Amino acid sequence: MYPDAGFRAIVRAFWAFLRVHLAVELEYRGEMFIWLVRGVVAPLVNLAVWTAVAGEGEVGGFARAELVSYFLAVVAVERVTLEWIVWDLEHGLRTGELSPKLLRPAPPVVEWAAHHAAYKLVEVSAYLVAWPLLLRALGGAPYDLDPGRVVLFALSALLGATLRFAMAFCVGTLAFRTTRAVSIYRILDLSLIFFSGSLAPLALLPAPLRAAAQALPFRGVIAIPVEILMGRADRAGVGLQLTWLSLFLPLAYLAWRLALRHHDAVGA
Amino acid sequence: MWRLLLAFWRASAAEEVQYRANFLADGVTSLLTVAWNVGAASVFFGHTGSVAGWRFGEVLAVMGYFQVMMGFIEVFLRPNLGRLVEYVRLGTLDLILLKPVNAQLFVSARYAALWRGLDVLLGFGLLGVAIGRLDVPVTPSLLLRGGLLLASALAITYALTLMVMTLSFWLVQVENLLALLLALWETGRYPVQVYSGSLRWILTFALPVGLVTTVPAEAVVRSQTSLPLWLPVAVAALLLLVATAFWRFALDRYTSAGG
Repeated sequence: MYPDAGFRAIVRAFWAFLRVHLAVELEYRGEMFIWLVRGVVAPLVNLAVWTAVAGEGEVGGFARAELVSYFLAVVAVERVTLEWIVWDLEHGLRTGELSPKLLRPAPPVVEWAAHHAAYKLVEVSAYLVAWPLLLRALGGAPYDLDPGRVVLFALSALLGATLRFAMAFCVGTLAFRTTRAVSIYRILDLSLIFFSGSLAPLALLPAPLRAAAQALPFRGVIAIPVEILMGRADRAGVGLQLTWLSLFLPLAYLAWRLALRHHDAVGA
Repeated sequence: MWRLLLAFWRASAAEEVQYRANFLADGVTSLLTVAWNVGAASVFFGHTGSVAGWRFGEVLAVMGYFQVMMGFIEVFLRPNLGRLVEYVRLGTLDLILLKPVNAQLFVSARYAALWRGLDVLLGFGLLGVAIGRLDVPVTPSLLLRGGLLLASALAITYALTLMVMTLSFWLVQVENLLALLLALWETGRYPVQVYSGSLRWILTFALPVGLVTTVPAEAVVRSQTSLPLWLPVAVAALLLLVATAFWRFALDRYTSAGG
């Protein structure tokens, strides 16, 4: 069990880890390019099918050009909110690498979060270059880049990233109890594809699924930021994200404390 | 050769049965994934009766072929060719080359992740559902066509993977190239007609996912195919020859670390 570090110490540790991981990520640019391509393919497959559904007309208020803008924004938010925390936890436990991390003054989540942030900084910068090019090549409708809206979009995307990280972290702490955490995570991942707006704009889901998507937290991850950029959602969306965060952040903290209390490293 | 393969796979199975709980967990995940994919397709079809000229049942056939192929990748390609990089890096390849076995056979078929065979079965299940929904009469000629095109599809996938992995004799980060190939393979989940213009052309001829999922599905559940049936078979044969030749070429140049 680590001694409790103060807030400032945690921020300092975060910056230090961020710099280290940024240097590492910049070294593996080629690898990152491939992950980015992989991230772009799935949304673009969905885009292709929706475009075929819309044909020359429109589907549920989305014409071809809007579908392009929607799914390219989905790619952006998908990359910003990406996480692999369950693998970090599972790997740390299986190999025992978690144990020395627990002895450090700052909790290990600080390093994991910094690693996520560093990776995304590089990848998202690359996508910010590719985004307008893809928009033009695929014939998307231009976004209305009003500064207030762009700021709200960025804020909402960051909140989405925090929400997704917190939800996955809760699932990840199950790794302390079962070796199947990654399988359970797969269910979270599939729900995210369906209910977050990444398979389809929520307006295009059939009524029962749409009702479920409205009630579930997943739309706070993708749909809300994307709809803010598209001018289809406003501050109320950010409020909803904050509400879900106020549930999942304490839950993640609690899950972590409970998991640690029961944790016996192999050999302890 | 078959006795050898049987022995290989029996050894693989013996290793796997140690982890029986994995089977259940993976099985549930595979089942969910397939259900989710079918669910996604039904969302698209909630808005229209046909997507790019394809009906729901016909798209299920494409997904069935796709699922069988992904299962084949998980059962054979990833556990075997996925290790090639390691063989080269650690020098284990030298040991393999000294064995009295065809080296290409060994690196391609030594292991079989049999429990992932469930993915293959689910794929056949999807195909069966598609055939049932569309009331396609199951005749011997249908099975022959479907089977032959399936074999071609798997051969194309195998040959491309072998070529990519053979690059590991010269390059270091080949795993990433494989990941890239598999990511692009994901486009085969839907009929190639949903992609427009030059992309469709690329996905049919340059990176032939269209030949791997679309054309076989057309041959089974639609009255006519967009391309002649012999094309996937010919491409598969050609790619197998090229991939084998490339593998031999690479082995001839291979000098090991101390050579």
